[in-house]
Amino acid sequence: MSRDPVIQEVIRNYLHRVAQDMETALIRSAYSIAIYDSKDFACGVVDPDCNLLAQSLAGTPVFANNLSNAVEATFEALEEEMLEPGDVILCNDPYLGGGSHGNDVTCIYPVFFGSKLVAFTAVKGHVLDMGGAHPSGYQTNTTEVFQELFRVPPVKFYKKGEINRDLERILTTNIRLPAEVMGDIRAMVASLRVGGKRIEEIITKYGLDNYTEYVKNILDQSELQARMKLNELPKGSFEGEYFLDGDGDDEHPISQKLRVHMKATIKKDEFIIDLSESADQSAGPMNSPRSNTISYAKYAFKSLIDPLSLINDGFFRPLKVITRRGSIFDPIPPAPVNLWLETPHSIVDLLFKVLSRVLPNRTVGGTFGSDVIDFIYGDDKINRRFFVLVDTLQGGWGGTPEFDGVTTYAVCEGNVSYPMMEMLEANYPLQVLKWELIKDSGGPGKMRGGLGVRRDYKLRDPCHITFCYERSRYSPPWGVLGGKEGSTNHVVLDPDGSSTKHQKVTHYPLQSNDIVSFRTGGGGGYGDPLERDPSQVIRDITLGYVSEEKAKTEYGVVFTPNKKNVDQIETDKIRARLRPSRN
Amino acid sequence: MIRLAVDIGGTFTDAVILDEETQTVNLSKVPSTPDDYSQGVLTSIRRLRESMSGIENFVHGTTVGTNAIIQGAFKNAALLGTEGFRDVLEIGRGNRVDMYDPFYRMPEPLIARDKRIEIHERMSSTGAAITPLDLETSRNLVRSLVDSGVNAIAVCLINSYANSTHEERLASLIRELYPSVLVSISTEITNEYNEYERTSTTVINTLLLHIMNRYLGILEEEISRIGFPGKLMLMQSNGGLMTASLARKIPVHTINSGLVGGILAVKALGSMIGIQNLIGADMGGTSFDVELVIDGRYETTPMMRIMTPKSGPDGYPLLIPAVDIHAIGTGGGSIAWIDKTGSMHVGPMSASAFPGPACYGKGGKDPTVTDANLILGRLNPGKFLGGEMKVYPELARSALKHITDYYSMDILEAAEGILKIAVPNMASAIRTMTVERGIDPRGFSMVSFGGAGPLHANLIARELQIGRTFVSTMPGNFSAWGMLTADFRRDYVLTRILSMEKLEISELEERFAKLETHAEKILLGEGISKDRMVLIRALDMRYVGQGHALTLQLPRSKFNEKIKGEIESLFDNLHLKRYLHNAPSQPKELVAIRLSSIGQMKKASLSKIKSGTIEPPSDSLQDPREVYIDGSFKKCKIYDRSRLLANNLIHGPSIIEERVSTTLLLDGYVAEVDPFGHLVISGVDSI
Repeated sequence: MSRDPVIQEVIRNYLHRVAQDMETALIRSAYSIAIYDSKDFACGVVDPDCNLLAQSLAGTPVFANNLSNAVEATFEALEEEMLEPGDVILCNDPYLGGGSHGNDVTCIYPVFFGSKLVAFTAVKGHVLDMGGAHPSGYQTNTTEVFQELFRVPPVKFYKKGEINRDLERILTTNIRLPAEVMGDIRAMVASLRVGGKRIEEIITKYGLDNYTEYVKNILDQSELQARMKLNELPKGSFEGEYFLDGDGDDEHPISQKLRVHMKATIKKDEFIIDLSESADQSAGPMNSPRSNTISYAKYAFKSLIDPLSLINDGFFRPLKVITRRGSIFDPIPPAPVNLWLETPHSIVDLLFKVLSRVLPNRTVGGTFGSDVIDFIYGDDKINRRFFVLVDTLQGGWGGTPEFDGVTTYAVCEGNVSYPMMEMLEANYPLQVLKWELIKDSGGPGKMRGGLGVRRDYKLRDPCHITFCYERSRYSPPWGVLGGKEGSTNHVVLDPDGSSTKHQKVTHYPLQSNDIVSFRTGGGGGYGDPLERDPSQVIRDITLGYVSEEKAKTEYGVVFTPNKKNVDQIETDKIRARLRPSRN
Repeated sequence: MIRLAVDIGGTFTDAVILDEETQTVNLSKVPSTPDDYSQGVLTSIRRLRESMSGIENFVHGTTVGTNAIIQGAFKNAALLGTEGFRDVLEIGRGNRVDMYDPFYRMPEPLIARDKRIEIHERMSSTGAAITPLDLETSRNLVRSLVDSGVNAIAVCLINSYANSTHEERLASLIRELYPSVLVSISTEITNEYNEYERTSTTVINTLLLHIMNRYLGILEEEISRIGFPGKLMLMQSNGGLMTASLARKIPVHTINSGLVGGILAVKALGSMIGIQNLIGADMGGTSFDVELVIDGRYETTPMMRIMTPKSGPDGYPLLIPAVDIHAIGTGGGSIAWIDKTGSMHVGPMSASAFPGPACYGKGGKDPTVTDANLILGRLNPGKFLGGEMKVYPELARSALKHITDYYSMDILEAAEGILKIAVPNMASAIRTMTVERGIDPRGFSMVSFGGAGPLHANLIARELQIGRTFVSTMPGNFSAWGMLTADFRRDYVLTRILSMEKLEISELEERFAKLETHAEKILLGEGISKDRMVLIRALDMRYVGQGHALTLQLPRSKFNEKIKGEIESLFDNLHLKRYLHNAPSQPKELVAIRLSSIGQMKKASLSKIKSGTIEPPSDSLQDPREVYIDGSFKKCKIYDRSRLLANNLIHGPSIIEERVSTTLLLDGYVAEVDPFGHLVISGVDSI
């Protein structure tokens, strides 16, 4: 069959449109705030060979590998012959089909053309509860995966279009918010069906053989695109390391200072991310199942070489990820994995860091580097209901070659938005006292890191809190090429009475009128702060991003007495004095 | 009655005058004048008439506001917010459009941090004053702002949607102190929650205050000088009209007002031909816009975004109802190109108005959709703008050469390939709109307009299996005509989260009644008599625990206890219709109360054309030509649309030409001329 570039483009566009339409269908009827507001989900189309063909544009990019991985796991668990039209496979097991933590439920819908299995539509989304010791599903001190969440390996949740009532009863018995979670699952199923119908339509139009052939071509084309981008990069091996703070509670740590080591090797036709020298798997939950690790590595690879194109698995063929069985990036069950997210964040900006010398125009400073996620749950006394608030904040990104790091965006490989304060106050028993940028939090640099934020809550009713803030102790958001560190993520549980910085807390009791203060880190700087244009420093002071003191000590910039202009002579003197102490 | 509509676009300003007595429509098109837009407006009117006396109704769609925001450069505005929330405007929502990009740029805050001032006050989410407003300190803060040169102040306080007293007090404080400083408070625009979006809306409104006041001042003076006796009305993003005096207070509603004419025209056409479900498909030079009329109504979205060079890909959110239009970058000027890996694409880059498609001979080198149509013989090189504009088919052919060389393709195959990529993209845009609403496009008729629309309408209809397509009688001016069908409209929304279980119908009735009294007062103030008022109640509802609410239009005006069950089951049904699932046993809650107040205006209508027989008159037939369709040349009859009569039936494959547009009719389809002169395209099998 000859390749028609026109049909190929039509099918390629169509597949991405299908993923978008699935996203639309999901968002508009989901129950979980993590899905409809935070956009903690992914929708996609996967071929029967487990290649991701298209993924929705909003949502969580790191779920990319998880979708195809869930299809692989489905084939491991069920024979292909067992799949029937109308089936929906559900799974959340981090080790089989899930990849991330158990709150992220994946639903898969086999699409048939006649009697032939031709594709899968797949949705993965964060539901409000999947059982476990505490409502968050995020406790920081588990020691076995069995303690974490109710695990579902790939099972038929719908059989030929009918829900499996037995499984539904088992599931709803094991979770705290059965109505909400079942609502989310119904929304996922609606999304899957929208996608499935669209796939049937395109195959009807072009014929199965043609469709299959073109899909293969589309994957090959993306591979070619990645290889061409790879060609532009310097060749060689580049190494770097980083330390995770660790897991457990602040009071009772389990593992501390876990090493993340990366060797990135760029060859003519291969890009290898080798993480095998990283720490042994933790006894606590700071472990990332291998399929999750691969998702993050894919994100890092794409973000480095071609961030703006649409993705499919063809693009990732030149990427090879090496992990060591029994390490934090490839744990052996039943190792706990609750902090699956925090472990591999480092892969993304560590890759930029290890390449900063050879790719100075494509590197960025370290980000605040954590999901800085918290869960507040308890009884809402006025509305007489149990509530779970899944809450995220964001922080600063690193400075870039051409502009300052952005302020308060979700860490690169996540893309969740946070709720509005008015919505929080209207729906949860709390009052927001503060929601503001933190002065001096951005790492100094020729291009400054973005700022972190502070948000304070006053709780109306007694409740519990669980949170996990990383990148606080051992490897704060780093600068690159002479840039300096940004501030760190932390929580102050009683901002008036104590200054203790908390990072990880599980099921911590809060009383009425207690105040919790969340503070996220700033991004690392890019380049030597002494190279920063003094007028930019003055602007930063005027806007309250940087204090006069830091302007002087970090940037070597001082004002004239009227506070409006740079005192150039004095600034030159201070900069000359500071320069030898840098580097 | 003589009615006038003037629409300022990016390149041209269009005017339409409709004389209802003589049933004549006159059109003009002049270049827009960005230095002072009112000059272009006046020129467009003068082209049609010397004096404006006798014109009773003047509707104006304007890009003045949109352009001002896009160009940026505001120095003298400040924002007052609640203590602790200075950075709401800058922090935003924390997620982004391009999710893999490590060099992402965030929207630059429209008011810099040193001009964002915190006020000592606090409301609770139920509208109780937790901290009373500190007037004394506020006064000093305002003083120092004005001393520093501030002449416009935005006020958006936390939870003001639940109680606007503090905002109102601050506004009167500023107005008393400094009458020349213009003020905008958030609750004058909306009472919806979500502080980032509400603040952003208030700020953009504030930035427009001086600009729109100046612009409308000049324009009103000029039109009254040439004899205009009536009230100037402006188009709003919600598809309704507002008076100029209201536009001076809440100019933010004029953002994108130039885009809404199309859907108004589609809706008006639908009511004339008695069709309730229509897809509007508007294709111009740079974009393809889709809009839906469902059950005789169009929908508005509660929020829109404005993109500017400083907004980054996120854009600035505006919490104002906007007609729901889905636009993609496929137009006559869309460029076909080959990427480095050898894949072929069409758009979103466009040759725009300049240099335009290669065949225009204005220096464009890239092949466009228009070039492809010319090569295929679908466009007549001698008939661009009725023959006034010269085009060069040989330039179109040389523009396609790199594509034919690259793929060793025949030039006809390549040209048709461009359309085969462009058409499904447009069809997908329509499908996306329908997926959002859970409807099947096959049950809809399509209305095609825009200069490039009719050429692709049949192709899109075939792709989507749409039964009937109406080609507008004035494809190039349909949108401007639509503005003459607009009603006065003001939308109100009030966020109130309340479980249906706890909801007291009497309280709900009271809230609606209060809103209605207010709305009626506004309408009366705008000179609209009671008999022309229509008030539509709606509720935003969801199942408890859900985030996204659905807007449910309510059946009638006065509520009694029975309505509760009715509302619940209406909601269950709507949920099922939209999302294919519902949960009637789940508790439900109210999220917001909405009221649309409409002041009905007299509608423009279409006049009927002369009737003929099934056979088109012989003078409508032009020289036939070979047109390349579906892989081969087909001998096509060519018709002059201006000579067609009602009841004429044309069989495809044919081409129907008119001054500003060309209709392609495919093999297997027929076009019937309806009493108004529309070409009604349907499949041969279906008649």
